[in-house]
Amino acid sequence: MRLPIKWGDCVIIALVLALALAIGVPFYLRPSDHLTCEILQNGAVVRTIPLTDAVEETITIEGETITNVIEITPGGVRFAESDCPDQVCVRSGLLTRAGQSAVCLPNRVIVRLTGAEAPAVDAVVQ
Amino acid sequence: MKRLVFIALALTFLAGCGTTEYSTDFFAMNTVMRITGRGTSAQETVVAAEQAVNALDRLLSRTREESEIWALNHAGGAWVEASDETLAVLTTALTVAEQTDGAYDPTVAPLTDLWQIGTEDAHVPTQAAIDDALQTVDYHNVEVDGSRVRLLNGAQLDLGGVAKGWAGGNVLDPSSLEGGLLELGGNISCFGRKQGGSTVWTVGVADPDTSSELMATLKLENACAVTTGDYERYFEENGVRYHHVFDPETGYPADTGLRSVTVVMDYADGGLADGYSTALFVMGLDEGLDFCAEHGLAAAFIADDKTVYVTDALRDAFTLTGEEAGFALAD
Amino acid sequence: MKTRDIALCGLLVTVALVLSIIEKMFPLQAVVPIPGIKLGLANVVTVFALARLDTRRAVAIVLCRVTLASVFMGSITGFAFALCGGLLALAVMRLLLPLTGRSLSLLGVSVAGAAAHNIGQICAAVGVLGTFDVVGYLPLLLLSAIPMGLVTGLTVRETLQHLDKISKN
Repeated sequence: MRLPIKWGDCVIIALVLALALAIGVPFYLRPSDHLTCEILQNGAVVRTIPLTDAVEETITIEGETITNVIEITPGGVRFAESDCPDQVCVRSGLLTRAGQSAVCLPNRVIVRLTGAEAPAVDAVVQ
Repeated sequence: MKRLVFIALALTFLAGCGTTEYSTDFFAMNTVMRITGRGTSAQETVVAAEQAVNALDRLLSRTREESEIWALNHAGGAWVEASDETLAVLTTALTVAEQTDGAYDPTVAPLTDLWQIGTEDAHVPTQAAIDDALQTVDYHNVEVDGSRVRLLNGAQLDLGGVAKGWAGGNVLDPSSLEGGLLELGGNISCFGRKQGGSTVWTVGVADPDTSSELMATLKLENACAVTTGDYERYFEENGVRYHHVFDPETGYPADTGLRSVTVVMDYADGGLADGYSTALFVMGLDEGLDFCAEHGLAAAFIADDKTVYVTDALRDAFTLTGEEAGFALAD
Repeated sequence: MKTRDIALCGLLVTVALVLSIIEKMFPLQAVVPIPGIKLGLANVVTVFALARLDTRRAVAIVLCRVTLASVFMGSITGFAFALCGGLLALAVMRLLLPLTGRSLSLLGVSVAGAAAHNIGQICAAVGVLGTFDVVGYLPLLLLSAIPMGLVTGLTVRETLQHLDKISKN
């Protein structure tokens, strides 16, 4: 198949390449993007909150008998309060990295952090 | 040339239109679970696996009145018909009990009920109460005859020690997907290719002191990993930690100088891995290492002093990352 | 004359629609996770319309195709992306087409059109999703615009040459 490409065509191709680089370089040299906090209740995502530099949110999740209070700050996410009997969720502490999660079993609530970068591990055995 | 280009384009389009990834998060067997699958019809397959786990929960749960285990535990010693799945899980449990000489014992239910670890009523029982509970604890009390089961001497069955592991290796057929990952209450099973194409999955091992941190990573290929530790369910009284892994002989939480034991086996052997990890924790380091050597098991033992003992079979797949936290490999 | 025009436009909309549906099967969303993002295969029809019909009809065809595609594939965000992408591509190609001759051919025009299509989609995405983060995908899309544009340009060129041959006979 003939490909009689003209110099004008090449100019356009070069321009598109240049544009791609011009946008790509500053974009990929930016410092890493933020983490996102996902809150699931009964297996379904009910809130998604990006951990931007100024985020300061307190989210109350009410189950049938138990209420969880989840605190979201730029530094991380945690179960601040819970009226569940075992307090495992609160004891999980502050989640700060992508892939970490904390669970309130009695209330069926999962709080986890996800990030755009590939996680260091696919899962954690515990 | 034109035809080749067209065919190439067509193939690229068609090849792409199959593979999707689907995950589900749900609660079963008293814990949180997540199943992820990649392949054509990933969603259907993963949802079916979730339903299979729920079905298994309904069969094996000790607390649900409709379960087969409830029926068995309340049959007063009579023969009870059991389904294939229940028999499979029970056989796995008894196999491990047999091989480990009772270090793992599926009849410790009375101890679990007595100590109430993991609930508000957790307490240290009197010696008399413990002796009483120990009366029926003996896996020999479980008799299997074909598809019938009965419990002698008032023994009570609890298959929770192998159920999650067994589910991990049996609810999702590896040939039905390109790749899959099951995270069932801390038990991990994986097969096939993960996103990116590699068949090697990286699984972190939790630091017993700070379970949100990792102290090592495992490289798994069509395998499962199970950890039994003293940090998952416990209560503390007078500075002593009482955890949920009982020594079937003493009736007290196993006190063997170990923080956790992690066992790695083939994907389909999740149930065995689950049972072995409990048994090895109860056996303690020396007996445990001997057992692993005898059976060629891949395992890692974390001792109180943060020394990590890795069996030969696991050496290649195990990478210590928690040096800063004080963990060190034994020689 | 008028009936034939309508029929021809209808035919072109159909072709563009089919191409839209085919390119939906290509899992671009796996690499660029923006719902409704497309490579721009349907631009083939836009180029053809600009070359053989007039601007007004080309715009009409794009509008029809984008609307029908959204109805068939049920994606409202997809509508916004396809509209911005399709119209920007049309505008750019409309400007460049008269310049074809010794220094520029349909190939360059198509590449520019594909690039404009992607820029249009990303702009719409920034508007719809409310974040500039998606601009990060533009470099990759622009790189894909080069082979995409070459393919569409070649396709139109061959089609036009065949058509010319037929009408000559």
